[in-house]
Amino acid sequence: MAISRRSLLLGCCSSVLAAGAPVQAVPLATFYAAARRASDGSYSAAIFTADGHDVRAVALPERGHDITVCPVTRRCVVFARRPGNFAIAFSADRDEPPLAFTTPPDRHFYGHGIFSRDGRLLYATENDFEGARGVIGIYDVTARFKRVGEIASYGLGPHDLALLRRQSVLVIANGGLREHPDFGGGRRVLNPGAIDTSLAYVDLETGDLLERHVLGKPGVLSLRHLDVGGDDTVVVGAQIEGAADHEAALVFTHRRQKALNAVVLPAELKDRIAGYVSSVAVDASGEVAAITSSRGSLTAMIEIRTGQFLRTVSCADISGVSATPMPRAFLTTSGEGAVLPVSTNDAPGRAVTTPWLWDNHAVIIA
Amino acid sequence: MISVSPTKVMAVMLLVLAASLPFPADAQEPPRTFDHAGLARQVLERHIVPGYSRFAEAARKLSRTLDRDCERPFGKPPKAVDRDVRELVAAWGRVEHINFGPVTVDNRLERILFFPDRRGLGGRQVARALETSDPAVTDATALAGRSVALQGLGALDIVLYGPGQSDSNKPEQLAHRCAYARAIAANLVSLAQAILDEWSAPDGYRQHWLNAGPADSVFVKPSETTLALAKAFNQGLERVRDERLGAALGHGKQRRKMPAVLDKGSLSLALAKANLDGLLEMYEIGGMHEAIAPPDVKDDADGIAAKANLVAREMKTARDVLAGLERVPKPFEHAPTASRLISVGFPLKNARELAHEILTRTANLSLGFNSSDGD
Repeated sequence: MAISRRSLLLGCCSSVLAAGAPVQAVPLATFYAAARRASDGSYSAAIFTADGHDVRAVALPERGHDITVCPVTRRCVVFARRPGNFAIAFSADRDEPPLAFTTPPDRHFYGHGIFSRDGRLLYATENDFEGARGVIGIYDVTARFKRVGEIASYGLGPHDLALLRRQSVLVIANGGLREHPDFGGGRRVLNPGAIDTSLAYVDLETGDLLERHVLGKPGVLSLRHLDVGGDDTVVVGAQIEGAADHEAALVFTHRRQKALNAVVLPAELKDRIAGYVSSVAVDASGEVAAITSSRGSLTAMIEIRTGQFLRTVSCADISGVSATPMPRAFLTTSGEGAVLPVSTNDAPGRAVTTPWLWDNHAVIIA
Repeated sequence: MISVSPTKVMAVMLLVLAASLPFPADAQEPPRTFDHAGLARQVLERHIVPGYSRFAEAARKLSRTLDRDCERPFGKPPKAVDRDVRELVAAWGRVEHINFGPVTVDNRLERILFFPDRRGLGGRQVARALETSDPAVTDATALAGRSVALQGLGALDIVLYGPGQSDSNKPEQLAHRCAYARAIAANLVSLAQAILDEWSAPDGYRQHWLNAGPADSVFVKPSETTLALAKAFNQGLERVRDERLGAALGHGKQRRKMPAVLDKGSLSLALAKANLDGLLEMYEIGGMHEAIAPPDVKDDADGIAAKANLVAREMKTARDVLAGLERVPKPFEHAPTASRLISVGFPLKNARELAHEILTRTANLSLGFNSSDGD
C-alpha cells in the first residue's frame, strides 16, 4: 500500500513517542539494527545490543525490511519491504527526529539500499512497475534524501545490493520477479517459471553495466540476497519461487570476470533449507559467510574462498544475520524473538528471547 | 527519540532476564500426529470443488438471465438480475479465500474481482468504455484480454448499478451497457469453469494437492497443504476485518475512509458475509475443526477443543451480525450500522488469533514471521 508523504510524516511523529521501547542504560560497544514487529502488530526499527536490549527505536507505518548504515555518520535508513514506498532515516547516536521519505508514485522499494562510501548518496533497489524493469533510485543524503535520479538495475526485481570493497562498483541481485502493486498486493510473482534472475555489476560513476551473469534459462530460481567478502568475492543466496527444484543450488559465490560458482552444500542441509535462503552476511575477517534459512530454521556458515561448509546452527524462524566485531562470528535474529550469537568455532551462545518478531535482516553498526 | 522511565527499564530488564533461559526451540513436546493428507482430501471434496462448482453455476445462471433480459435492454436492473448478481457475489465470496492453485494463474483472482483498486482504475476505465460504446467490452473473448479493471464483479457492479445507469438513457446506450454486462458474466463463466476444471481433472492441480510429499513439485512436504489452508484461513479473516470492513469504516492503515467493495449495488456486506460463510465452511465442513480437535481425543489439557469451538463461535457471531445488516444501503455511511460493523472486528480478531495458535500447535506448522511470509 502506497503511503503519502504527509501521512507518513504524521505517523512517524506520533508513533515514535508511543513506541515505548526498552532502553539500555549503559550502551555496549557494538550495536545492531533490524526491523521488527511487536505483539500488538505494530512495526518498528531498532538499534539494539547483542544481548537484545534496545538502544533506540523508531516506529514504522508498516512492515520494514532491511536497514543500511552510513559508513561516515552511522545514520541508519530502514526501508519498507516490497511493495512499500517509505524509508525512514534515523541516527544511531543522536536524539534527532527521524526523517521519512518515499519513492515516486510509480516506483516502490524492494527493501534494500546502500550508502555511497562518502555517505553523500543512498542507492535503493526499486520497481518501475509500470515499465516492468528494475531501477536503482538515487537519493541525496545532504538534501534530506531528495531523490535525484535513478539508474537501471539491468534486470527485473532488484532486491539486495552492495558496494564492492575495492572498486566503485555496485553489485545487484536482480531477483528476476515481475510484480505489480495491483496484483496480489504487489507480492504475487507474475512470471512464475520464467524468473529471469541475474547478478549485475554497475559502474557507480557512469551507471554503465560492467557485467551481468545469469543462471541459464529463466526458471524458478531467484538470486535475492548478497554480501561481499574481503577479496570482493560476492556471496549470493537464492530462493526458489513456485515449483520445487530439488537440484537447484541455493548459494553461490562470484568474482568479477568469472562465472557464478554454486556452493555445494550437504544434501541434508540443502533439503532443510527448503529452497529458501533468507539472508547472507560476511564476517569481520571477510573470509566466512553465514546464510540463514527461516524455513529450515538454521544458520549455515561457509568459507568463502573454498566454498567449504563449516557449521550449522538450528533456531526456529531464524532469518536476520549480521557480522560482529569478531572474525568467524555472527549475530542472528529470529521471527520468534531470539537474538542468538553463532560462530564457526564454538557452540552457539546463549539466546536471548526478546518480545519482538525480528524481520528478515540484521546489520551491525560499525 | 524515546524516553523511558526507570521503572519501565527495570521491567524490561526483568523480562529479558527471564527470557534468557536456554533457547526452547528443541525442548517442545513432540506433536501428536496430524493427518495432513486426510485434511487436504476432505477440504478438496467438501469445500473447494463444491465451492467453485457453486460459483460456476451462479455465473452461468446470471449469464442466462442477462441473455434473456437484455433482449429488452434495461436501465434499473430487473429483480431477476439483482437476485442472480447477489447469488454470484455470495458464491464468489465463499471461495475467495482460496488463494492458491488455479485461481492464481493468468490473473484470475483480479479478473474475477479487482480490489482493492488503488487508483480507481475500475471506475475510470468502465466509464470510458461506456461513454465511447467500446465494442471490445461486449465480447467475452475480447474482454478477457483487456484490463483486469474492465472485467469481473467490480466492473459488473459499475455497469449495472453505477453512475449513468438510468432507464432514461438512449436505447443504444442501454443496449451497449447490457451487452457489456453479458460479456462480463460470460467471462466469469469461463474463469469459474477453468478453475473448477483444473481442481477436478485427475491430472490437474488436484494431483499436486492430494500427493504432497518429496516427489511432488508444488507441495514438497505433507504439511504444506495444511500450511496453505492455514494461510488462506488467516488471510481470509484478515481481509474481512481489515480490508472489507476496517478500510471502509476509516479504521484501516490509511486512517481515512476507503471506497467499499461493490458499493454501487450495496453488495459490500453481502460479500463480507459470504466470505465468513466460506471460511466457516472450510473450517467445519472442510474438516479443519475436526483435524485440530478430533472428537475421539480425550486428553485436552491445553484446551484445544474449547478454543477450536470458540473459533467457530466467534466467526458465527460476526457472520450473524453481517447477515442482519447486509441489505442496509450505504452501511458505512449509516452511523448505527457502522458502529455495529466496528463490533464485528473483535470476534474476527479473536477467531484469527485463536486459529493461528491452535493450528500451529496441533499441526506443528511453522507460521513464523519470516518463514511463512519472508522476502
